Amino acid sequence: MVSANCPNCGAPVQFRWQGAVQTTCPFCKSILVRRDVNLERVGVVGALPADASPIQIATEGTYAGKTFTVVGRIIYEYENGGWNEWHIIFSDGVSGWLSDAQLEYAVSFPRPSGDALPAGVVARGATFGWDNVRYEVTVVTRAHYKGVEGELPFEYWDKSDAVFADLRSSDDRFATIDYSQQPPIIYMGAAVDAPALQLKNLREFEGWP
Amino acid sequence: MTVPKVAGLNCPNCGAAVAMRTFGQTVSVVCPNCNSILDAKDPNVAILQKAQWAQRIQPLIPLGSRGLFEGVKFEAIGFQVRTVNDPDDGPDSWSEYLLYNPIRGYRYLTEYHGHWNFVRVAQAVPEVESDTRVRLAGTSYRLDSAETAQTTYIIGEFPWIVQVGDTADVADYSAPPQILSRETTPEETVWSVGGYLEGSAVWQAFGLATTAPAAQGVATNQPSPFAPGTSLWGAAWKLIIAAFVLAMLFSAAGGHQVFRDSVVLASSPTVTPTFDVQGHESNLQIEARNQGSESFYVHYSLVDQASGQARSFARSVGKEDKAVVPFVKPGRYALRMEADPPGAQFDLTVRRGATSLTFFWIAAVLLVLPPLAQSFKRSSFERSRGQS
Repeated sequence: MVSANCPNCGAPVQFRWQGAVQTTCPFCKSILVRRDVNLERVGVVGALPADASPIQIATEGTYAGKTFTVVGRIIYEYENGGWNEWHIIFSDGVSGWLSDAQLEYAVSFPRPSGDALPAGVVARGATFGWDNVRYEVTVVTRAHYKGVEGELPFEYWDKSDAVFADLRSSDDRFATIDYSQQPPIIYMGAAVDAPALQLKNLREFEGWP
Repeated sequence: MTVPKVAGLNCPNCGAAVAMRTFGQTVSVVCPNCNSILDAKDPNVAILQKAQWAQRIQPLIPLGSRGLFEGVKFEAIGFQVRTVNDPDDGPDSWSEYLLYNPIRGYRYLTEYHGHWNFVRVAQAVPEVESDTRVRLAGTSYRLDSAETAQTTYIIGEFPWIVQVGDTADVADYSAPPQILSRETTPEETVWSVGGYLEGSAVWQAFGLATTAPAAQGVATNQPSPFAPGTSLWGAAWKLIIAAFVLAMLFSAAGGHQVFRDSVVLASSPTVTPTFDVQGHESNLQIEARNQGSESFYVHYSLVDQASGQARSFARSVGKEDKAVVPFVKPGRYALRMEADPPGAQFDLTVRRGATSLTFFWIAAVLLVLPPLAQSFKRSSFERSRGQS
């Protein structure tokens, strides 16, 4: 584990993942970006919305036979609620995302670039064939970036709105087109049932054994 | 770290305390006192909608009840009534309970005329097979109904915006015991999969002291009590084949000859010498093989020598004829014969215990009755699906 000090408050800031580009100070909530060997404070995280996710930083789980640890997250909100994109690091160092959208879980990975996407945001009902799987755009969501926590694989702190297109297949595989970056990033993944993830170190809920 | 319960809020319309059961995910919550729908995400708790109904509906399952489904505890946190307005049949409603577990997420429990489904939102889009069939996870579902549903009553809390008057196009597909539903709003199409539950199973899951209301009619996805594997046809066919084999065995084993002669029937009646019939009461087969080329009639009389009683019958003999006289007691008999026209010439053989197929046919008909009755009940069950 790499350790440094927060340039704002001096508190120790630890990295669980060598590849982290950005993290947050757990004490003063400063957003810290790695510049060579130094940490630079680029902003501060405002008050996060009330969070009902059972997942937290350091939650562990299993996907496709590999264990992972939660190291960071991005929080989004839209008119019908919010969701978390938890940044996860697998035991072999691979970085991925575990999303928790109203307690429906999915694991995804950025798709290597090279797929031509139509200019502008795709429309609901549009279909794409990737790796011999047919994906259909089921919903396009305009979300608000609400905050970040912990370690991320890229700088992500000066956002406001983000548009996402969710694509589904005829099985549990799905794709998301993230229009908050240019060019947009395609994430490919699968919906996963909570028990299959074998989550450990979850938060506990008052009144629920 | 334990996540504490979320503090409730106060209804801006009537001031009543409004408790909340999720841990911050609730977007819409209904005041239990004045039924105003409130925006739980708004720090000022805006009223999304004032009560739109005059009469309160008491859900069969009280909100706050926890029930065990598929091994997981879920709490009933929301309830809505949804209504379709058929131009011919008038309004028809079903109830939907929103269930919540802080880790496993949200499920639905739907109730329609005493039939229940435990439902989960699908993460896949079914493949379209035809106008009336879709396929999901290897199962083909048949379209049962497609209508526009309107939300007509809401209490409790929901992690999205709900309002009375919300409409959605809903379509139900069934593959008993599963149901697949599609809900389309201008924003989104959502598919969900449910499994049929009897009311008693729901009451048991929640440990409710009351009794589940009786189900009316047959639900579209209600599992048939005549499930595959319960058909009686297979067993009936096996027994019929066994009865046939048995009949053949008896006819081969029995049938020993008690009398044989070459007969020429002149114009006057002819009587055979007497012959002994032994064993228990059974039938007697009288076989005539025509030795001439013209067919003829024979009037037989089987005469019991002890009592003098005769059993008379007539037969037409073409090339050959086998007549079976049932229930012949053991004893001494003679056969009196008269031909029409006279001059018939034939070989006469009398056999004891030759099995006729009559009993086989009676057995076959009796064996076919139970599966026939079952098939009738099965098809009337299938015909009554969705006709509640």
